[in-house]
Amino acid sequence: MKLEFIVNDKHEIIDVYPGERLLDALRNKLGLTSVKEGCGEGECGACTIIMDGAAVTSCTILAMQAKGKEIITTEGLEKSGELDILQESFMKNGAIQCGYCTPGMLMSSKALLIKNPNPTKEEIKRAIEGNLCRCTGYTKIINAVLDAIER
Amino acid sequence: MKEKFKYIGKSIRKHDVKEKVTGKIKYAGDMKLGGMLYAKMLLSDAAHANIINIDTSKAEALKGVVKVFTHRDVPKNYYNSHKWYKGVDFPRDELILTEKVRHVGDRVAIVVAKDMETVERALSLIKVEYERLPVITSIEDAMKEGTTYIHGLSNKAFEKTIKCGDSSQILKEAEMVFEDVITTPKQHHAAMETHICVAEQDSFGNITVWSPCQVVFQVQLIIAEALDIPLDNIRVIKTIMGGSFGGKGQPILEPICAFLAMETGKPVQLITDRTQSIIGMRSRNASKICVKTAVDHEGKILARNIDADIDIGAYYTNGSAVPMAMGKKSFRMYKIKDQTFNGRSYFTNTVVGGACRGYGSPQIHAATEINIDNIARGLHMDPAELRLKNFVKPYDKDPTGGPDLGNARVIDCVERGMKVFKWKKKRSKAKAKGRFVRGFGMACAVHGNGYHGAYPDFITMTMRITNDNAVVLKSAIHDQGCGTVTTMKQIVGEVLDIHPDKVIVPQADTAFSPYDSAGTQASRVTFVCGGGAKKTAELAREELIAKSSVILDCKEDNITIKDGFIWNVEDEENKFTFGEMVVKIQNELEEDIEVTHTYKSPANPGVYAVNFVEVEVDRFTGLVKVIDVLAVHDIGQAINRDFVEGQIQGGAHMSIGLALSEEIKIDRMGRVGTLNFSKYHIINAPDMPDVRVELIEEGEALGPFGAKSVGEVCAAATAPAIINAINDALDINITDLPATPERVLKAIREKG
Amino acid sequence: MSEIIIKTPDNLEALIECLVCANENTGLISGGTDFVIQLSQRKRYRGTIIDLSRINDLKYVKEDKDVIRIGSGTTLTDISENKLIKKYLPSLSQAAGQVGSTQIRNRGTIAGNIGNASPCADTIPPLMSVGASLKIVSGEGKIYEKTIDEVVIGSGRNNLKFDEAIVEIVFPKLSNDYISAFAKLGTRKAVTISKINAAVALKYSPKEKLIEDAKVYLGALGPKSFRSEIVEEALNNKIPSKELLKYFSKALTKQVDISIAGRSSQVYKREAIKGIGHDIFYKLFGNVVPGGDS
Repeated sequence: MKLEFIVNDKHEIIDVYPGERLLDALRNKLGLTSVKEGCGEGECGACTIIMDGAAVTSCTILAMQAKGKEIITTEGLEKSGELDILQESFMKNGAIQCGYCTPGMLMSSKALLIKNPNPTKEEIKRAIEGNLCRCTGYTKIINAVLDAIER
Repeated sequence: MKEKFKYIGKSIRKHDVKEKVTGKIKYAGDMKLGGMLYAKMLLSDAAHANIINIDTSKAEALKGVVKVFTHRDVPKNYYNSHKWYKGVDFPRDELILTEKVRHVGDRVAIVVAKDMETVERALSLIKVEYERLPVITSIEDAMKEGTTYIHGLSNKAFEKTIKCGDSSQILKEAEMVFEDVITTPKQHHAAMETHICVAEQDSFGNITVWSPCQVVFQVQLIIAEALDIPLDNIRVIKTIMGGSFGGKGQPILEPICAFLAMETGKPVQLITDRTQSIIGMRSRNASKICVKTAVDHEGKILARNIDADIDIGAYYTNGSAVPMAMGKKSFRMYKIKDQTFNGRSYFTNTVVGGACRGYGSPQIHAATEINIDNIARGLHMDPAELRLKNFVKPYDKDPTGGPDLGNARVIDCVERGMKVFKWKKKRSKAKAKGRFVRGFGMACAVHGNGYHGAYPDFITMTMRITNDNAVVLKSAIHDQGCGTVTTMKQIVGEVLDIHPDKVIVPQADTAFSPYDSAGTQASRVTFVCGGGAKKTAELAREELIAKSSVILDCKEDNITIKDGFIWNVEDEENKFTFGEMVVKIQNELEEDIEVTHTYKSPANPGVYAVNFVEVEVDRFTGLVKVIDVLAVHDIGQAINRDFVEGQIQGGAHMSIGLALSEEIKIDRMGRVGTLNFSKYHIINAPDMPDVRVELIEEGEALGPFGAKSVGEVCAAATAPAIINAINDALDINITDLPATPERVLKAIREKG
Repeated sequence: MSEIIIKTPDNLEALIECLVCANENTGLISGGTDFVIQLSQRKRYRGTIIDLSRINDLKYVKEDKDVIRIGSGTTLTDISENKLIKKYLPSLSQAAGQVGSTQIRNRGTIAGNIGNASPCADTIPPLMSVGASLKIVSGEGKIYEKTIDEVVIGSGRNNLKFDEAIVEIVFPKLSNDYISAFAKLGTRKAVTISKINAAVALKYSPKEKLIEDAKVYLGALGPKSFRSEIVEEALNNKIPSKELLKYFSKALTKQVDISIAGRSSQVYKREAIKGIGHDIFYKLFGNVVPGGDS
């Protein structure tokens, strides 16, 4: 089946099979390996992407369901060589250890800031409630998002 | 005031954060080699059974399937994946695939196919017939006479006593003895990256294995033993690590994946999903620990007896090392003249045990620190004050003959923590009467710095200063995401007075890295490998000075090194970068700046963590919210403050999980109830408190720039501090971890 | 490779066309948050999947004279944030906001939560408490209404025929003196499956201070959410007070004892439901009875 959609501002047409998950299509067909699998059941958030402005777990969506949608992955945050402010802030605040949850964390945080440019700490926690991290205890991730808001 | 260090202690960014934050970095699961095949295992859903028949015909008939492997197809070389060097041995009871399954999650078959979709479908078409055997799921069952034996003729895998003095007599005669039985659960490491491995065989027959691992030389050894092939035909390359916490310490997939690559002649990627990572890999051992402590009226500990029974699961792995590690810790926190530790390990038909951040420390400190608080309650004493009467002091000896404690600063930790946390004021507050009750607790933990005193602990490192002005430190280090590479850069930068950005630190690759005796284990990396980096850099500096003095025709004393430049102090006009000087050395002397050094760990001091926590218990639902954690750590000297905080906050996360929600649940049939994160709850952001960090940096003479370890001790003290805080809130006595809402309500009910 | 056929109608007529061809191997999905997991766990392999997520006409919350209408494809996020729902059925807004994680709520729909008919589905008790009905379209092109109680069998099963799909959820606009609240209890604060959940809707005017017409629905205490007359009785014709709260909690415990007598979970749930009782009580009466935070 042909899947036509916009990924990171680019018009893409790829072949997918009916039961294929969006996660697998993005990784295998478009090489967007920032999208990670950590649980396969929408619980860990490592595969989070932004679809039509909202953070969603790409392991719980069929590839075909993305037809005509606009998708952002971490690869798409960088604009003309400039990192997104969240990316800068994650680096500056020590929010990254093993890095496996990082793309998902960035997507959830980015989706939050699209919707609400001035979230409270509690709202940040709620936005990343579906993103698990074993390394950091979240503190530095939350600080990074708060820091990005200030800047 | 002039700062003590230029780069040490600074929060320099990790070397790979840009690649991570842009999503460009490649983990093993992102690798694609030409013609690569995909593989996944079929794991047993029976807990204890003989396989009578495996029908793979339907799976093999599926288009795209390359081969299906069962126990009939694999080498019968028993191995123990815990073995990390030649010269040590542990009972060998593991095979690549088994004919007798010993736990839900044991390895039954492997499918290799052209794509993952086909692999998954083929796996669902394999039919296994089992002859079921009686199932043992608890230490109590395992101990019973005449029960089923999982291996050999006993379920007891290991037993050892460590002691000093004669505790039994004192305990018998003492006026006051406090006894607690504490249980801790099996814990899943929950690295976000599941276990994965890639392997390929070249035309010479050599195998290359890419793995997110902790000890490349151990991986190489286990592959050699499992497949009975020469060690030097195997090359192991450590890939970017998506989290390990000990879980990826023992090679599990690597020998299997190497075998598949050899059999198929193609590159193979062996993948696990989350469920397989929970049931088929390793776990923190469950424990049941009985602590008996005799004290006098002033709270002085007179004697202690610890009986620790460990549930190591279905295979031996490190079933002897975990109780030993627990035992050793028991003698290094409090000064107890007469103490006995009995450790016993038992096989059960449950998830296999292995290394897990803390390596016995979380279990033993859960037990002893809950017991200490109960003593304080019994004596109507402040638990912090009681501890202060009994702690070891700097430079104390280990009473069992273990390595000296070094600059052990646990007392400083407690005193600082009491002040910062406002401990006395908080503890003396009257308890609320309503639905939500606040409680305050504290607990301590001790851990080590490597294997010195027990196993070979050395690292060989090579340093070269290049003619392009870089410093290359070659060694078998494994950055687990904690910042090991940058830590080494900072140490080398400090010694050579060159910016850490100029220091290149490639990671472990058995083909090119000098040998390291133990890898990323035992909290040894900063203390031992960092010590090695410092010494090697010092030697390189000496060599650079010596050769530069020839080039500049001056005395060595006249050579000045600063901010990456080198010059003759009498000729300030002519400063050279290291690279420029190396060019001169190469061209004029036909020499080079390269040193190789084997660094033997000189010591194994104690590191200490003290946690103060505030909890809020919902008396109606039993839910516990951790409001505040203050973690005070004796770490000698932080090499990178940000990394140290990251370790402590992450360690607290794992420990809060152990205290409140994490448990691999296994029923009487051996079935696992917590197969994924929807059931296995690690702490998420809304439930995670901010973890405040205080560091005691009094320096450890034998550590690099005074540094000691932090990565494991930080995962041990939070859990007992939380349990103590819950018990404080409600005046109850919870001794089973995790303190689930059900257990909290039960304790309230029982109190009446 | 896979024997799954996916149909993606983008309007109601196209949906009906898909339903015409439906058979026992046809499944409906919208967000896909549950289905795709089953698929990847190899629990499903064959059949036709009708994906409703592209039908934009099914994403709305509308106010009519007497009723509120929610398109079946409205996401749980949209429901939790919708002003009309906050005004007319806060319990539903609260419930939708506590399903799964942010990512799941952004994708999961109300019809999915209902159709899956899980015993612990969070949106079902609030909808049942106001006697919501479901508008269903069939392959024959007929549209009819059934109560949510009729459609949900429980334990993960529903009464819909294979050629039927939920297209709208309708519930009556209660008059201004009705209030409602929802609370749930899981193993943690957020992203948790309910061990117990409850929704209460009742008539209360601050002037008369009297509770009337209470409707109480409890979830995760049986195959499906059910009405508790014991608890309703405890509330009806009473004045909100601390004493009433105790009485209400006791009634909840009594209901647990009846519903799951002898089950191992009874011991915990009979006590813990007190927490739900308090949460709901203070959501409803926090402004008239102080003390909700202790």
